[in-house]
Amino acid sequence: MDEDLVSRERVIHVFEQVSSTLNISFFADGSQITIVKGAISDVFDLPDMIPRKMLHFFHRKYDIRIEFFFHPEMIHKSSNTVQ
Amino acid sequence: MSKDESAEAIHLPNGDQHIVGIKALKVLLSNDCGMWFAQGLEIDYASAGKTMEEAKVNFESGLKKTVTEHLKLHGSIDNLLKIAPQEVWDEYYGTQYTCERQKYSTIQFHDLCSNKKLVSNKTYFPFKEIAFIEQQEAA
Repeated sequence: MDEDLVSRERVIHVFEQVSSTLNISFFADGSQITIVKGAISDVFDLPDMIPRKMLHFFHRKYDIRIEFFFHPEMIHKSSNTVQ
Repeated sequence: MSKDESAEAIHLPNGDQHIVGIKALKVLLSNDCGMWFAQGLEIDYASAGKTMEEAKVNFESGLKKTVTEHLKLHGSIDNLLKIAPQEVWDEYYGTQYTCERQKYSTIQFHDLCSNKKLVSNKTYFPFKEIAFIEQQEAA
């Protein structure tokens, strides 16, 4: 399995785990997910596998570092950048 | 009044009934590890798919549902009309690309009172006016 691809189910699982903590509303219905954060409200039809660019989009738009759950090396990269 | 290449969005509310149209939206398509990623430029929305075609279909269907969601929650699409950040535009202008320009218009009637669509996704010009730009790998 390509390291840069993550299954839809895993992405949904992570969103369900972090949504309440991060003050967002998240709903999943099969391949369709709905993300509500403040005035932002988006619906997505997701494929079985999610590319890294899509995770980066979620990170950027909703300020949810979801990609770090799947690519922990990003944490080290981020830390190095700060220092 | 408007250039053919300019993206436009129209929202005509009438109580609980709404008409929404989106025209000439540019979408950058790129291959990401075998999957396809579609990122809107004038509207900061994205999708993915196993094929380019699937990414386009998911983009269109998801955007339509997002419009519906905004109408239900806010009564308008104002909060949806946010352009993608500079990094996306830099990628669009900086990449070698082939351009597939299509014209897309959708007129969606939605009755929020009955929670039904009076006319569901009636498309007068199917898959037209979303300009999909494919990002190619640098040689």
